[in-house]
Amino acid sequence: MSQKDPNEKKNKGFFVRRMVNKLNDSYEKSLEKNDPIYLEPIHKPKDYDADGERVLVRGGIDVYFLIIVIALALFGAVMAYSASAYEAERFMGDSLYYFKRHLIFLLVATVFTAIFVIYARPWFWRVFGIGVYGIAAVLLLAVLVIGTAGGGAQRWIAIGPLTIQPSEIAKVAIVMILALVMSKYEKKIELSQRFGGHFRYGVLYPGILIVLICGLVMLERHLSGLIIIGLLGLIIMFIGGTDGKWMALIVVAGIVGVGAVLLVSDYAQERVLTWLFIEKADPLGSAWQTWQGLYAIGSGGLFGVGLGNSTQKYGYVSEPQNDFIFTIVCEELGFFGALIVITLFVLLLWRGYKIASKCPDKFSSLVVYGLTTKVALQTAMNIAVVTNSMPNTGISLPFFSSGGTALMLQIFEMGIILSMSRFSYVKK
Amino acid sequence: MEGGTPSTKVRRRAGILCIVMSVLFVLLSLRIFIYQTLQFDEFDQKVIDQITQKSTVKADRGNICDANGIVLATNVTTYRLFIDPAVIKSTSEKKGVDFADQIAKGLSSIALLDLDYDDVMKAAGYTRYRDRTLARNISEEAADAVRAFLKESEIDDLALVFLEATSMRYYPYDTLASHVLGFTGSDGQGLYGLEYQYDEILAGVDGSYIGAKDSYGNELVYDYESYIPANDGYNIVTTIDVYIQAELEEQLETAYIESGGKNRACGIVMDVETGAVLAMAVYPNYDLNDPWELNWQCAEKLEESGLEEGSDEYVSLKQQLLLETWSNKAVNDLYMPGSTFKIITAAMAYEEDLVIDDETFNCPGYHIVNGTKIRCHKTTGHGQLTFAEGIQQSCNPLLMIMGLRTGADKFLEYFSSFGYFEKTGIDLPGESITAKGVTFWDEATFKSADIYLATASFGQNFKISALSHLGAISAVANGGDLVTPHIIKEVTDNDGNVIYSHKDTVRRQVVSSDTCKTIAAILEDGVSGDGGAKNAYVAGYRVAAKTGTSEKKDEVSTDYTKYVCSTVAYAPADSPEIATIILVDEPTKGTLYGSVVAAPYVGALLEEVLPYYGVEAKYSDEELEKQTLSAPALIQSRTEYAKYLSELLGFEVEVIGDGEYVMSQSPAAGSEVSPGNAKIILYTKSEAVGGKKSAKVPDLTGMTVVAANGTLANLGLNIKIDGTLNFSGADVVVVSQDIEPGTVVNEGTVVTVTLRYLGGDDQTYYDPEADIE
Repeated sequence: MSQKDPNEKKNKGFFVRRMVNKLNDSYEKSLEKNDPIYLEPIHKPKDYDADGERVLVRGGIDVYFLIIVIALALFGAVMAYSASAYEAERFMGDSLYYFKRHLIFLLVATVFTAIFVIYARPWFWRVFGIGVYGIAAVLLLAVLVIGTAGGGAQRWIAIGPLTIQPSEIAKVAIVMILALVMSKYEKKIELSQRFGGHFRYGVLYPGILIVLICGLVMLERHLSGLIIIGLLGLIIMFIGGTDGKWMALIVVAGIVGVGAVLLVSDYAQERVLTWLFIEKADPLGSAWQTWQGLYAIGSGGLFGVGLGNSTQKYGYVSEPQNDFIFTIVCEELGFFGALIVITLFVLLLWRGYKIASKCPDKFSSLVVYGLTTKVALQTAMNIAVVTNSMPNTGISLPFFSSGGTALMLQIFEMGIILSMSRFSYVKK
Repeated sequence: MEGGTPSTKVRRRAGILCIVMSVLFVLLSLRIFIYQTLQFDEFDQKVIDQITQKSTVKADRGNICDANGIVLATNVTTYRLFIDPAVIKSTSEKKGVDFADQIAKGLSSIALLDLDYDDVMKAAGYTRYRDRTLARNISEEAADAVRAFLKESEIDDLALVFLEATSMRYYPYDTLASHVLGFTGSDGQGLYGLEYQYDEILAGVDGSYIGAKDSYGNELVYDYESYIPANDGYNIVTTIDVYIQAELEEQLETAYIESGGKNRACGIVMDVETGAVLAMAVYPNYDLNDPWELNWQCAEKLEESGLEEGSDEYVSLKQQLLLETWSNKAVNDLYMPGSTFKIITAAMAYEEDLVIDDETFNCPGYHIVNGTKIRCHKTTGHGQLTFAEGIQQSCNPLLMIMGLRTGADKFLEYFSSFGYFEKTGIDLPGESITAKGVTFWDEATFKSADIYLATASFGQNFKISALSHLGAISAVANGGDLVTPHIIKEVTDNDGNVIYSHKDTVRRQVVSSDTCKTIAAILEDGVSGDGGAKNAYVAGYRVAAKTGTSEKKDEVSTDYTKYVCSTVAYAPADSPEIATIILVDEPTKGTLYGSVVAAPYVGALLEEVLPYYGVEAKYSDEELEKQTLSAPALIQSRTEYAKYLSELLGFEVEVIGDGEYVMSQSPAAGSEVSPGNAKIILYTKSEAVGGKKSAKVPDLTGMTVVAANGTLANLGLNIKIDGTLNFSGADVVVVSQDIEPGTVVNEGTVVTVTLRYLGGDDQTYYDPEADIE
């Protein structure tokens, strides 16, 4: 995309647009140009000149990434319909009930996200990072007071027709706030002094931010959310440059922590025991969901029973439009269908990392790494759960699991990545 | 320690992460691949198994009818009441109404169901399940009440409470022919009797329906849906006749109760030509609609055992008594026939021409065989008697002589030929047969000494079933053909088409018809003349009968001597149509002769059954003379006319007063009075009504009929004779009277007396093993 003269568009357009441009200008001046951390890309082109004066240029979005996202979203929507139609008909009286919701959420999210992809500049995401962390913390507190109970936990806040799960927001928040911290203190993290060096900035600060959010999530007993947030935090710290020894220590501490949770929580224990001794578990009780999922996967064979022909979705796989939708994909489309889905996610991972490595500054890079990893991690964990490769805990499959704010957030996160893919610095 | 600039560190670590994630995805793909290839068959089958539902389309079990189409066993619809706890829970949550509570309240309020609120709530608590049974075998009435409740409370559309129609076997006559019909188990399979024997024919073939269901149990459209309709079972028409059956059961019960039986009684009525069983009964019987209830005698035995209810011994005894309750004594049990077997011995001897006409025998009260004295029941001896008299008097020495003349080889040959060693072929389960070496001596032993033959010739020391015995007797009755007893007449389908029709089969001719005629004449003469079987006499019919009392030497009790008292009979003697046997095992009260315990009831049975079966009564002059008179209706008649009419009918008339019209009479019009001293008193003055002549009823028990008649005549009372009407000879005495002695009654009143022949000793009681040196 050709470079535009920044002055050219300054006084054009509507009021809002002019205001956005003004904001962009002033923030770029105050934040970006004054902080060299943000000016240095992690992937330096051959002709990179550290001392040369550069200017931030906004180009086109990463089309490959967009195509992968669109492919996943469409595939997801089709499967969401196929998997949900029977349950929707039976319980809602309309076979399109879940599908319609899925599409509406998808559409609203796309439109909403597009605005940010079009207008947002790197500085905005830094501000957003701080803001979203704050919002997540507030909502996590709020949910304890005004939350809607369901499934033994209090995790949702109802706002009109929407139900917001604060822990979903917390996932984005932890990625962005840590990216900010890790890039802001990049230099200090490299220092090896006792305090004020890699421990303080690479371990303590991120640690506090993680523990704070995780603590709040723990209060609402959202185990899977806790695991994902914790893992994402560690991953950003890892990529962001936290000292290897400390990383190892933290991982050990994390494992001990999980063990402690298992000792305390009967609920978690039951899940783990069911997982370990699935053959002995009550096939009509605790192991019902797992077994039915496995039956669905196994009965798909290599080529599946055909789109729409699943029999397991007739109430055997519990809530086939949600966490276990992947089993219906396996049943209807077989191994090759499942492989296509996994391949799409791997491509997303690969393209996301590619974008991350080319971002104009470290913050953007870490955010893109983080959000891409988040999608891949959730996908991997979801598939691990339905294949009984790990204990059953409620993790949805991005883009596939039906509707809700989680889907909107996923689209928005892809928007953040696409937005960041647009920027690069060029020599003045 | 990682080196390089922060930027290269980020990229290296991101690379590591990328590889880790990719490896994760590869591993997960591999896991899926394993599930979808190696475990495909297993999981695919699981999916098919849980989605398909195969439901059985029950075939209706066929009816069992009597010979005239009266239904003896059929089906009634009952219901199973069940709830769906899973849907009750989910619906309650969705609608915010506690349906479990509502349903429990509603159902527990229906008295017909007899359900507790707590029971229903408990069942509703099994929320993982889709089907919890609350009650079974609910009547249509109760089901209607449930439907009304569901409709009223508007939960009938929610699919929470269900009624499932099921078919239950029902026997309209409860106990009638219980041992023949048998009953079915809870799954509808036949367990006893005809229900067991013809289970396959009655059961039909269940159909099936294969469809698909979702996990909530709702039907789904399914590619492999299939429906195979049920083939209903066929109906069975039996040869049993309800009327004859009821009559037999009544006589059995009376005989059993009056003689204080201890080990059940049984009886059979059979068509001698075809072998069709017209009635077969065991007393005490049991209720087919409640077959797991012991019969009264078994229940008493259980009670008397003093065992603690629920103990192992109690349970096992109860099990044993249940088997006794259900067992068909006439077919399943063996007994020693005693004197009734003399018919067979006599037939053999006669057939073999071993009796010389007019030959007389001497009975000194015993007969010496192999140096051993074997007693006759009449220890003083019968003296000189003919072959016929010997049989009629049940003389043991005479029969021993006949047996010995026949010889062991021939005897065994005939014994076998009469079918005692084989199953009769009756279509009832569990038929027992005389096994050589077990209940009969083995051939070698039997032939080794005459004493075995001698005792066998009067029916002692071997065991046969009542049915096989009656089969052999029928052969003697019908001209020598051994027919196959059977109960099935036809098999029909629901549209009335006959699928199978029984064909009578003759197994073989055993003796000639000439022999049969002679034996029948001898036996008939014993009944109507001065023989031992007088009690089986039926006026108007020539009955051939033989009584027997065998001692159960193999079962010794210290309390009392165990006998089996029985009578076999067939009629009419000149052209036999039906044969019957009544057998009381271990009677304990009164005279323990078959002629007293069983014969009167055989007589009473034949008296009812013969005319019903279409055998016309032919009265001899003597019998006509004995026929009862019916008192005419004379009130308001002119006195002269009334006197004239009464005298014409055979009454002696006494007129009291001089009125022109009869104001009152004794006995009342229509009263049956035996002839001889029949007297009618006519009162012609109204004022004389209060001053009727009266008499005190005397105790007639033990009197001969002549004495009783004379006694009553002297008192101005009338007599009506019941029981045996053959009062020739001694020992025929009054055993009961209908009006208590000492009662003051009007003159002319009819006193009904029951006559019975208390003689006719027919005991056989020799155990050769004890005396042989």
